Amino acid sequence: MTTNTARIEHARRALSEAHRATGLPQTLPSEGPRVVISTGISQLDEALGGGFARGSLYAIAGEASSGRMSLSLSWLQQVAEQSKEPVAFIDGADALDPSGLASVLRARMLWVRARTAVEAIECAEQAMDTGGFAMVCLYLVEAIEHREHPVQPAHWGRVLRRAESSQSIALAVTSIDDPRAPGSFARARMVCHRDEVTWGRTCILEGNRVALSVTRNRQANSRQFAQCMRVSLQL
Amino acid sequence: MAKHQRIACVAIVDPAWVAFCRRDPEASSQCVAVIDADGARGKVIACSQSAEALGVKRGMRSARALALSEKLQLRVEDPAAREAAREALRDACLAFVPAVEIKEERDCALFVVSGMTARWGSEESLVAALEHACRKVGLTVITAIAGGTLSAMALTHRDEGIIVRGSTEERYALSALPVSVLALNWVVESTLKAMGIHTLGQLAKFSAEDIATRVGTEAALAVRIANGEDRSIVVPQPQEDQFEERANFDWELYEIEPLLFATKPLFLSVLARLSCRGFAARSGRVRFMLLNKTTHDREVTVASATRDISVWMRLLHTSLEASPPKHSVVGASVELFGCAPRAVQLGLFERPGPSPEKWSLALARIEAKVGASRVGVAALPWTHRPREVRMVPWKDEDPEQGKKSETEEDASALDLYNVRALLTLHVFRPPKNVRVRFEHGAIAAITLTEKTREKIAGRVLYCAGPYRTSGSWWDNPFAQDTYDIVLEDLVMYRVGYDGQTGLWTLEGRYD
Repeated sequence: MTTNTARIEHARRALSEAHRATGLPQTLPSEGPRVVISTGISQLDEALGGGFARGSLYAIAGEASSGRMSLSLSWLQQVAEQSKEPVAFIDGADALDPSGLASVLRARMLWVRARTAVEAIECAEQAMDTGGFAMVCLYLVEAIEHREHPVQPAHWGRVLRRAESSQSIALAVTSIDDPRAPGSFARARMVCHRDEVTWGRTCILEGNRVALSVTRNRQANSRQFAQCMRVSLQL
Repeated sequence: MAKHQRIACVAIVDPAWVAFCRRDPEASSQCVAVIDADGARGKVIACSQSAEALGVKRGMRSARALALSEKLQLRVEDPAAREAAREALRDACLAFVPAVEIKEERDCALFVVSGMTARWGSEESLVAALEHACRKVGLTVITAIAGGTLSAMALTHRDEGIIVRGSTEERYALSALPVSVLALNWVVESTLKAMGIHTLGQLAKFSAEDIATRVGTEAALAVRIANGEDRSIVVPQPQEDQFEERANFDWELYEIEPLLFATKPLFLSVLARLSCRGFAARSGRVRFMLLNKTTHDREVTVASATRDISVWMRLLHTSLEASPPKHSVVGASVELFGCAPRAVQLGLFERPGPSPEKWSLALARIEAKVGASRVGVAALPWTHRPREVRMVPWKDEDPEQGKKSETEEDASALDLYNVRALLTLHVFRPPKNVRVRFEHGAIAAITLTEKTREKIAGRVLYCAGPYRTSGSWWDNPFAQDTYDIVLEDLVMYRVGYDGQTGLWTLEGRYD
């Protein structure tokens, strides 16, 4: 144990000296304040440090019927209304139901029906290249994976760079156990779970309630991202 | 004394060569000769300076010209290029006057310049501006201003342009020119030559009546022109807002990059013509002539009217990459539809968005990737038919601007959970076939009949429905019963029963 600690310390010192020799600054430049846009959920805003920060990549994952698509569209609506800029929904699974969209999304949301996950990511990059979309949502739940061109971590690196350069908010929506999730490229990761189904007295499905939690947040302390909030989704 | 109109004639200098150079601007620095027909019997009709230095002359047979030097390249004249040069001349002139007459056989444009000195100061300034406009569309021209169209056309055969005022000055300017500049009937011209009349100065010494009795009325008209008494008028032709340039390629092209390289001069020429008329273009059509005698058409549209060549070329590149022509290309035509340029007015407190050109380019790239029918804005279909999807083209403008948003309207409707969002359906396209078991008139259990990655089966906790939809009985009728079900694991689905086929399908999942 002691030997390992000594080795680690030695390696650290060697790295430090090598780094000093390059003449590069010892620490990364501090990130300046970013413009944030509210998510419409005050607890989530608090957990994310004010809302979605422009030029960042966010990830949301969840199980079936946990409100992943509903929340994504709700956030797209919030961002479109607040920023007065268009938004994009890159539909990797061709699963969007236009009849359930808010009017602002029917007017200001670019809908791209991609055939595979990689195609969806490439379309999202092209959309962000314009610099005109306030938010680009990449919906990859049940998106078909191309055998020869699977989603690689490098794809998310490119998406993040595009988001930073265009000051767009990128949101990746995946299943909870999907290995294609952005991982550490995301500024924050949110997870949603099914809570309960709300059923009307006249035997009509009214909606459901989901539990949303921020499981990882690069810009917050552990107390903040342990928060769990409940969201009501109505049909 | 009645004041006569002043007529300007703008003629293309060496039309065959100018038309050729518009297609291939680098030809002037090469040893090139243009011939009127392919093969050994073709005659040289134009050539570059370096070819002239080798001894190549107009009218020379192509075989003889080739014998002068191995370096000489022979190119067959393209009638489409000549036609395009004339159209470019028309557009350059239309930048100054609203009506122009084009004389195809003389490669010149005629228009009235009376009263234009108020705008240009003098006729000399007008001519200078006119020649500058012609240079912008790749034309070298010579301009003459006289009292009639025929005399103005004759004066363009001088070595340099001229402005003549009054009959005396006009007669003097025409006197040194040969009779052939009037393009008379060859019988009349040979008769005049037989009479020893070679120049217009010699012709002017005769009276019109004397000549008319001996040679005919055409010769009498020639005498009046030679005397500076021509009063023929301009007959303008209707103008169109379509701008087209065509070219036949010297070689067959089958790769995208060379094809773009060959098409770019056509775009440049059309855009220069648009610029002359103060137009921009928002849509256009590129037609490729293929080796198998068929055509390959491309519609190119930008979000906003523009004359930016890079935008048009990138859009064409993207379009060609998405579906290239199936055979080698032997020619192309570019047609743009002129419209008013875009007026840009940004708000002081608005974040500047991307230019329409950037929008167009990004959309074109996305369309090339997923298909044009899969990109746009979601719209409500004009039917209740299940699984119907309608998309409209994307526009970078907010049609809802000024309206109250739904969030503001619903702000008071927050429930105990403090947050409310609309539950949406994750649609399965295509729907999954499912087997349904009924108990007491409601769905009790479902099982997927096809293999999928996701396992969907189980007992139904709640079932709502059926919600019945039917319609279009007059044409391709539909009838569907829809149920909302919740399985034991609290996953919510929408199940449909097709009354026409009797099939049960899983339409989607609430997510």
